[in-house]
Amino acid sequence: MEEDSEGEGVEVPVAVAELAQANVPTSLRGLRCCKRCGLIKTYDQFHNEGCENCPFLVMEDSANIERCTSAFFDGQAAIMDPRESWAAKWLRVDAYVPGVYAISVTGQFPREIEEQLENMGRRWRCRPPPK
Amino acid sequence: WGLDDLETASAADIARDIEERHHSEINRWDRQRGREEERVVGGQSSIAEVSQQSLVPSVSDPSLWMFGVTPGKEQELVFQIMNKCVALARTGKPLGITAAIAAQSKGRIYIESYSEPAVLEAIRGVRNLMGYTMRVVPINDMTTVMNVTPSKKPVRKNDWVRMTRGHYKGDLALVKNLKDSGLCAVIQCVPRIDFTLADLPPEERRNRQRTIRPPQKFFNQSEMTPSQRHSYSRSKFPGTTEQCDYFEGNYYLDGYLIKEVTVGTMIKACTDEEPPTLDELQRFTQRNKAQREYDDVGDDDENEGSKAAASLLDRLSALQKRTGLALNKDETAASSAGLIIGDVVEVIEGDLVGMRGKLISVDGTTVKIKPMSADLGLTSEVEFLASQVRKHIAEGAHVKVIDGHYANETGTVVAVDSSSSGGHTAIVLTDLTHKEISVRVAISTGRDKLAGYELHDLVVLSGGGNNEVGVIVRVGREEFSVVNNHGIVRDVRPEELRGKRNLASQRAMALDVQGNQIKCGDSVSIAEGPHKGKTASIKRMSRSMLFLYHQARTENAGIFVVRSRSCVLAGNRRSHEKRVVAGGGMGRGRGPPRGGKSDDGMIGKTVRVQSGAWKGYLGVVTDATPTHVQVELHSRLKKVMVVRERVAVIGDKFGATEPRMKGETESLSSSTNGGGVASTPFLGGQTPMHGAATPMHDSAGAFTPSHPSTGTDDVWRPGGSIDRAPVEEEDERSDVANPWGPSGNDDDDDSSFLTSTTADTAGGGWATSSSPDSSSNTWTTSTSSPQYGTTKTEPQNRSSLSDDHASSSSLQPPVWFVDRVYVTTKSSQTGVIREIHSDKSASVELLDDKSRITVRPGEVSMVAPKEHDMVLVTGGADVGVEGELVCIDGTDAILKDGNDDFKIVEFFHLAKIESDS
Repeated sequence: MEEDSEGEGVEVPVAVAELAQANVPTSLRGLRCCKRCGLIKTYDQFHNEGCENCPFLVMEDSANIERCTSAFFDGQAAIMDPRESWAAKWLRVDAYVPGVYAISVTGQFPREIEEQLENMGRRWRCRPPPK
Repeated sequence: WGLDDLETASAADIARDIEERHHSEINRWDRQRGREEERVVGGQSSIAEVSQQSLVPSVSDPSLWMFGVTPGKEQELVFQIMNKCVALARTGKPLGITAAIAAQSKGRIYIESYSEPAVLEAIRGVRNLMGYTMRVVPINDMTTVMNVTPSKKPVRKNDWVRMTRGHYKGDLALVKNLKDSGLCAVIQCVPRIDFTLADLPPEERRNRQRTIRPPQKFFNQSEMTPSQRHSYSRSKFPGTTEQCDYFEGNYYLDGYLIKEVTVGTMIKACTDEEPPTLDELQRFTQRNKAQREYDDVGDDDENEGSKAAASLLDRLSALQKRTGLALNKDETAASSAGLIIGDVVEVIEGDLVGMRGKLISVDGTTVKIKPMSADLGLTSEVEFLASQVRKHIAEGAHVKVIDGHYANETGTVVAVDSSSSGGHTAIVLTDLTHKEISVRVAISTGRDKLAGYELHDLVVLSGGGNNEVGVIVRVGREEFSVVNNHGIVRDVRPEELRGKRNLASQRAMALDVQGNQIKCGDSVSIAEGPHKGKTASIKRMSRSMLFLYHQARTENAGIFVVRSRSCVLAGNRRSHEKRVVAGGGMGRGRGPPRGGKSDDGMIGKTVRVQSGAWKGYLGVVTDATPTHVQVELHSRLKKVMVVRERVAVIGDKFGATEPRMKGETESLSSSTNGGGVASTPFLGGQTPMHGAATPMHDSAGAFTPSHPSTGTDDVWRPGGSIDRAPVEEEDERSDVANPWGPSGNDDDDDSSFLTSTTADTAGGGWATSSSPDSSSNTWTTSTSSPQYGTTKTEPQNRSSLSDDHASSSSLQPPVWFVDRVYVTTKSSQTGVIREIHSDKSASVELLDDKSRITVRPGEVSMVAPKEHDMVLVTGGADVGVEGELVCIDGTDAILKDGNDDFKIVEFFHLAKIESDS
């Protein structure tokens, strides 16, 4: 969808077009966040749309959603303009789509997904719980 | 960017690099997808840390605004603002805000934007957000806003957890099952049911539910009362197949409570710091026996949770046993006896001597330690011989002795002695008895709390009336000793306490016997009762009862109970006030200290304004300066500033107490008629006092203002001649008899004799301030004071002005006229008063020849004390105190009383007395 918005470019600034596309959590309950990028959505939203930032984490079946998202996160930052926002920069979500991001994500990927991500050269935001 | 690079690079290089990074960041928008991969290198190395540093906000970043919001609505509001932005973006009119943040700060959200109007627009129409609380976050604090510590922690099945709120707060529970991908947990714990509740009247039931926490006890349906049977049934716990007991909305399985709770808010995983204790586990497993007795359930059917607890219990006790064994084997390692996993230990031998760490395991003769020092941070554990470590106890730590003769005593470690013959010992100052005991370090541990209560906590006691509170004076193994508000000590169990009131005590305020406000931490001296004369600090207070703490007391950990009205505020606060007032007096040049004293007394007095625009009005003095008083008028809602001389005190704070006397009326009328100088004598009564007082403290020079006025002064005469003819003669006489020294006046009658006392003592300089006024309403010392240019005398004021001394009857000899006081006779002989006779005369033993003479109070004057003399305080707040005069500072003197406390007293209150020795 970002490719689309870049195409429209001239009329509406990219950032605004992106923001118009953003997915905001539809409920205050059953919230989860993507373990890689920290995007917060409801379980159903992840089930239906997956994670916009991390399409390679296939979130079709519920087992995968469980593995790739975490219900344990602290702090929410609604990022409307990731490119301009300092908060987004600080959280290192400035390259992602607008949305609500967790400030800290608690959880761990299963080993195989971790390896897969490492091979792809991508970092992830979730941290194992403090001992 | 390695750490080394950072160190070697110059500041300029770093600056340039950061700048470049910022620029490149902006250029990177176009290739955003690829960009993050560039930055990515694995997990959480130090490289990531350094680059996080480079992300700190700069001036080119948007600003952050803070808003106060309804607590608990933070997340909702952030979503709401996000939704608003998305909706507006869809219409093509985006809001100019870049982010909205709900971090961990309660009741606050942050909005990030380049423009303030955009922020205002964003919050317009948003409920639960208080727009007026808007504040810019300083750029340096922006990173702090984003700091969150992960609070929620997932739990796993069969984890031990602790309940964090509600009826079971603090209880141990076992996770049986997880739901909602770990957000919900089904736990089992030992229930706390109060079966007696059903039979109580509703009101009492509510009260009981609120205040009393039933003990942990397994559910047993045979304990139900008949009336409760109808709320009992057997049913399946939702989502399981097991048949449970269902009672009053809760499920019970095998006596355990089964409950579904949310993870993170209702329960928290047991941390390493607070692992399940043996005690708790025992309570969890005790089920076995009880169940077998009444249920006939064999071992096979034993509850899983119970089994888990039992196995952990076995493991723990095995671990402890092994620890014990290890020490038994190694008899020489006496110093390490009693090491328990989790203890902080210190290495006493080898290369790492002095290192501290946490004991993580004991195996035979070796122990494993996790170092605590930072420089060994990477090493996870180090192995030592058991003999190479010993328990580390810091000086000042609060400990409880766990074994031996002093078992269960708690106290503060005052010294740790490693050289003594008995091995490593600690000297512990016990809380309860203030004795120093010597304990082998191995047998003390750092627990001084029980059920969340600590020594010196103010606690509410259950039973014995609603208002019973107490202060914990001893923390025992299972009970506390509490001294209650009646001063009675009793032992209570933690269950009998209904919570702490430390905060309320901290905020509380009470009045002492002098009406001073006192609060916790103040030091007071006790004026009456069994503790009279002691000085102690207020540890806790509840209503008018003070729980005082005195270090030297050995009983009840130094705590004793006194009513606030039996105490006098001691120490800094009061003497400070006093000094200020005295200083003000000095500031007025020759302003007499006694004037300073009456400054104090003015506030709260009922006065009548004597001239000016508010003449005749009654009011209360609300404030006083050296020259003016602020009077709150009774009849008008107004405060006016009046020159001191223009008010007459006619009563205390409760209203006018002295009737308007004929003299006053006349004086007022005369002032109206005559005006000018002639009338002034009757306005404002203070000046003569000041005038008269001045010379008392200054030496010869000070006589001038008052002296010329004696007898022949025309200024006061007109007034006197108008309305005071009958007493004029006496006035005159007293003026004559005013030569500032023992007068030759040998009047015999009591009143004139007192008059002479007045003059005498005033002249002597050591008069108690009561004397000038002691001759009731006569014009003893009408004087004019040149400073004020007028003579003002008003009999009515006299006694009330000297409020301190109004009580002293005119027929009483001065306060200092008691035995052991040094006096000077008229013939300049010095002696000591040996005996006071009933006719108010005294026998004085002369110092020169030890002969005794009999004198009357008027015939002698006090002797000015010098430093290191024993003195008696004859006036002021500390009247009656005896002590050693330490030094003289202007008009103040510092003396050391019997308790070795220092007191600041006005010098002219001091009489030299004979020392006891």
